[in-house]
Amino acid sequence: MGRQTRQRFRRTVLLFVALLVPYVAAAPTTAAPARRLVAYSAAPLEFTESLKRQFEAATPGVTLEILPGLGAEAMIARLDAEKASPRADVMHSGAVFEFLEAQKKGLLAKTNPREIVGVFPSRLYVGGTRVPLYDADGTWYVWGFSLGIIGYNRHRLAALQLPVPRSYADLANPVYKGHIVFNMPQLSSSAFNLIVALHQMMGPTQVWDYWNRLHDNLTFYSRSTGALFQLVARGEVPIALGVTRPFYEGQTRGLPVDVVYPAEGSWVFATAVGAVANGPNPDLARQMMRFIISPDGQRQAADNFQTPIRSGIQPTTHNVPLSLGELQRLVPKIVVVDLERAERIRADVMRRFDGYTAGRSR
Amino acid sequence: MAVGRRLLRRSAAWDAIAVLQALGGLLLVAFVLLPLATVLADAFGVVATGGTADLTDFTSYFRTLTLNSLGLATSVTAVCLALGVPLAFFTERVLPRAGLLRTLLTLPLLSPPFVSAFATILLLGRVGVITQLAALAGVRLPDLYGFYGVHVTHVLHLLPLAYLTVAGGLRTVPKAIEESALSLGGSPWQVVARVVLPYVRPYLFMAALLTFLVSFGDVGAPLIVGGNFLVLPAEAFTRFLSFAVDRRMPLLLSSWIVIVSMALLFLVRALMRRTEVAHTHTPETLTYGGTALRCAGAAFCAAVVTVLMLPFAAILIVSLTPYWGATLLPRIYTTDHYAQLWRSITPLGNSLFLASIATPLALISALFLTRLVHRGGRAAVAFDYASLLPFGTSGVVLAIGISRVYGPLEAAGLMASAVMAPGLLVAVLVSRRVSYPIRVFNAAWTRVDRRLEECSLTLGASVARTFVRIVLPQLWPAIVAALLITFVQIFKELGASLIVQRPGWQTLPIQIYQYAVDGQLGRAGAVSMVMLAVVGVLTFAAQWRPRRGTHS
Repeated sequence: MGRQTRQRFRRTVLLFVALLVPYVAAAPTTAAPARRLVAYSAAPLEFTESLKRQFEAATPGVTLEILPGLGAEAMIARLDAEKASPRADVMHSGAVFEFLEAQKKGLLAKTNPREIVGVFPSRLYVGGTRVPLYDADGTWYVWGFSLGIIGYNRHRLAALQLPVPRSYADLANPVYKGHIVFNMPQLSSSAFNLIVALHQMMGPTQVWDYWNRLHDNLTFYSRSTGALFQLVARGEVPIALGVTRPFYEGQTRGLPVDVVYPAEGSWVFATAVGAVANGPNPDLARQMMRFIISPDGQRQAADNFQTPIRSGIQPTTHNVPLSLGELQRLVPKIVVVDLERAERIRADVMRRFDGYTAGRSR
Repeated sequence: MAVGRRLLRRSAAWDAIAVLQALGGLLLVAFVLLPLATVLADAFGVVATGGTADLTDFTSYFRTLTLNSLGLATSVTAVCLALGVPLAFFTERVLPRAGLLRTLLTLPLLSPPFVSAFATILLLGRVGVITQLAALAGVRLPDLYGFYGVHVTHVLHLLPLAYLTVAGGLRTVPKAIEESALSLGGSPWQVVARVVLPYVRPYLFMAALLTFLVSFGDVGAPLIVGGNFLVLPAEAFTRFLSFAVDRRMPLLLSSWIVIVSMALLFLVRALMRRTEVAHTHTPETLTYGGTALRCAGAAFCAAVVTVLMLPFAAILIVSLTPYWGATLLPRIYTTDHYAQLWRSITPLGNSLFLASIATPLALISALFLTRLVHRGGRAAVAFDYASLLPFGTSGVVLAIGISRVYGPLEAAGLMASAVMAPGLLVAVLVSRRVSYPIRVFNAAWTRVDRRLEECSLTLGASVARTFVRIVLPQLWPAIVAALLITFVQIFKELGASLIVQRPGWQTLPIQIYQYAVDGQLGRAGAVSMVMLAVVGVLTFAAQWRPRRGTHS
């Protein structure tokens, strides 16, 4: 190879190095340094942005990167795919039974509950039923509640001259045909939560008779939980089967939305957090969980319309009554979803909803 | 001695260019062919081992999805061509000075289809503005959520693509041909139908192919306005995301999308080859006179442009209001959504950064790949087809394939996370959008004067020197055009990014998508307007520069 050949080869290599410079320059920001924490979250983008701001303010020197809006099922799929070399430290949001599923797959790390929650009961009694707040191994911790409700748009319902539904049974009435939207239990833990709650309230056979009738009234199955609220808030679809959080938030913004606590019962949607097994920063993961359950973290949750598990926490940005005590006074009947039942019926529910959502035989 | 030095120079330069060509080829193989082949192989494995036997209603499910997807893409293509051909005729032959019109007509291409989708809800949803106006006039519009919604969204988004391709074709028709036909007594309509359209048939095929494939592969609009209308890419996407559904399904769906897309690509390429003629840009085109024709053209173009601009007006309005319900216009206006943007500015930076890395990589790969293709040979034909694959295949499928190939390497710790985090996203963006510069350069290479190249080589210049001093200046306009197109396409990419997104690397389209599905339409609208402004400014800048050097 002559001198000129070498020079030209060098030039070619330099050209590529020059192209790669900005790319390599980005590496430090994406590497996993000691003070960078990664969380996968099923919470909406606005919630996670607020959590990031407040956690970083409370924990100087730590950058929290959140991959938001995944949905609990997507989070588990992602964590499972990365199991050999986890990229995330924390699994945030989603129903407790999703965390049990993640635990079963070996995706969650054990922690010491004393270190995370301090002296705090491992269960609460809601509507006379026990709600576990964390397990003995500290693989998951409940940090907030929402209630399952029927959300509706006041203006739109009035314009369509439809009565406000008072129960789940009402929704199966043909007058609501094409006026109800629901999301896919295959993609959303809140949707699956509702099905388990109905299974519990109505029984294993009647629930599917009921759903077949309700299915005929549904306009479509949305792929996003957030979309349910958006559709109702705008008036595109007047009624949705959802949870309280976005509707409470919409009410404070002056939107014409309201909620009905169904006569059969409002189911409790307990949302949890857990550290990822073999995550890159276990100490930071625990720090984030401590923050979420701390009074400051609980206030952030309340500010974002989640009912905190701690009593005496008041939101600072709105006046919506959110504490468990207030909700128990307000809501006629609260139903706590049976975790074992959820695990037992999961496969059947998914199979049936594959049929419902794909328009195939049920 | 001098001859030896010359030979040495040539071989050295050949080495440098060969390395670049090889790297372009490697990119195509590593991030297009291998991932798609993996998806196909995995699905074949499932089918071959009888793994679909327990999937209930598997055949009817696939048949429904395939018919839905093909039906949607076919009808979108038909409408886009039906509107795009007269639009191109009017702007190229009747209203040649309608520069603003042409600029406005390209605007929808600058935004992602899902932005058009939520704008469609604001306009044609059950309480949309147009729906309300139609109701006042006693007309009941069909329900948006389903085939109709996705169809309208795709037409609003893809009409400019069909229009631009056909308009490009019309610019290649020599003035003399049309003048001769007219002088022989043909009416303008006869000349267009019997002379011009047959002449630009390859462009019509290309317009149809591009429109069809983008519609077929889109995931954003079906997710937002699809309702119960299921199409292949959206199903592959939702099933890939959840652990709760059968893990075989996304593989089977993805491989089926690859097979259908490839079949279409081969079919249309074969058709195009049979009709292809050596077209070159012609400096002069005929202008058809007549007041009636001009009035009809102006009215038609104005109507189409107005319709195409409506979604942008809707997005602008929703970005300026806290709430827009079932009223014709919002009652309260605010700039809060824009004021809040500074709190989440990172996605904009990420998008600019990723696009600025991915664009030159895509451009260089495309430039040298097309050089390889242009030189001919068996490998060239294979690369030519392979280069069309990312265009024909849904971004979701490509990303699923890339995740399957490189995900395990990453998980096994064989690829450092520092490299993988943005790297895989960059690789996906490059491979997903490399077809665009390839199409531009394919056309540009045919215009490179080989005689000048040969003269330069004969006079002793090296291949590299000839390439830099003789070939590159001739390609400069194409490079600028490719740079713009590629940057915009990478900047607005959603489907593939959603699959391979990484913490801390959220892009602007992902941010808009998440705000939109979370019900924060105002925030989504504000971010969309920022995105359109960025892309608009860049487009303007890119178009402005070369005009200063018109000598090229």
